[in-house]
Amino acid sequence: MDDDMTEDSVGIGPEKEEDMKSFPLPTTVDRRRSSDPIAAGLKRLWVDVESEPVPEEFFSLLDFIENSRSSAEKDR
Amino acid sequence: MTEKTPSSPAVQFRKDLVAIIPSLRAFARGLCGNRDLADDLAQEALTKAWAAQDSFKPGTNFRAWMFRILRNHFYTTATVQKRYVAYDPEIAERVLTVQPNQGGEIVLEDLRRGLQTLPVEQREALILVEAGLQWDEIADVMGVPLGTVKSRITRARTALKRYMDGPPDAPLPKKQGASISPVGVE
Repeated sequence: MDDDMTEDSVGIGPEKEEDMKSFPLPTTVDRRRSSDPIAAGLKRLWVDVESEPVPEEFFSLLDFIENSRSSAEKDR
Repeated sequence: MTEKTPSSPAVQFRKDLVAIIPSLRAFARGLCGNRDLADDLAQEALTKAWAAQDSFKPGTNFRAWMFRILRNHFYTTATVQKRYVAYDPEIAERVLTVQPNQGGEIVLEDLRRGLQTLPVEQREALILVEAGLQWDEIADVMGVPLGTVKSRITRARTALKRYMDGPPDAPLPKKQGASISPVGVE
């Protein structure tokens, strides 16, 4: 992915590590989350998906792969 | 043939894969913004991980390894098949001119839409923070320097905040010939 492509789109300068020294990035996630509703919302989106029941097809896929692999090993 | 005991590497590997499925789905959902495509992506990542399990070094970061497989596959698929909606600055700008939120609170659906207006490399950086990865782990997953990760996260947060805030209020039109003198002081 070309980083240059996105720089103009947000109007912020080049991505250089030295440029980032003055950025007020949080030192811990918890500190940021406690005061930032967007961070809290993003976490909520993540947790909501993680909390969904895993569809059965995922386990079927793992079973299928495992069985195929076992069969292949037996055939050797 | 390798015997599969309850503690064998193969059994443990499967347990690790099963345990990480919810996080893989969350990461994939954030990347492509579509439940079905995201689940396809997560399943393809599982398949690739299984095939590449010998390349995983026990004791290293399994979570980061899996996320790297998924995001690499996402970029490959997005490039080759154009299955996912590419970032379009013009569309993003149009979306940014729509007030996403009538109240002051964060509405998750607005946030979800706002997330999808970001360039994907910014979006994935932001999502990986929510996945609980440290900065250096995110850099490892994305294959970029730490400074680039921080830059992308900062840009993403700025753009997302702009989206959630909506367009700035238009200034009130000045009345022609309106006096600037205080009342009664003429």
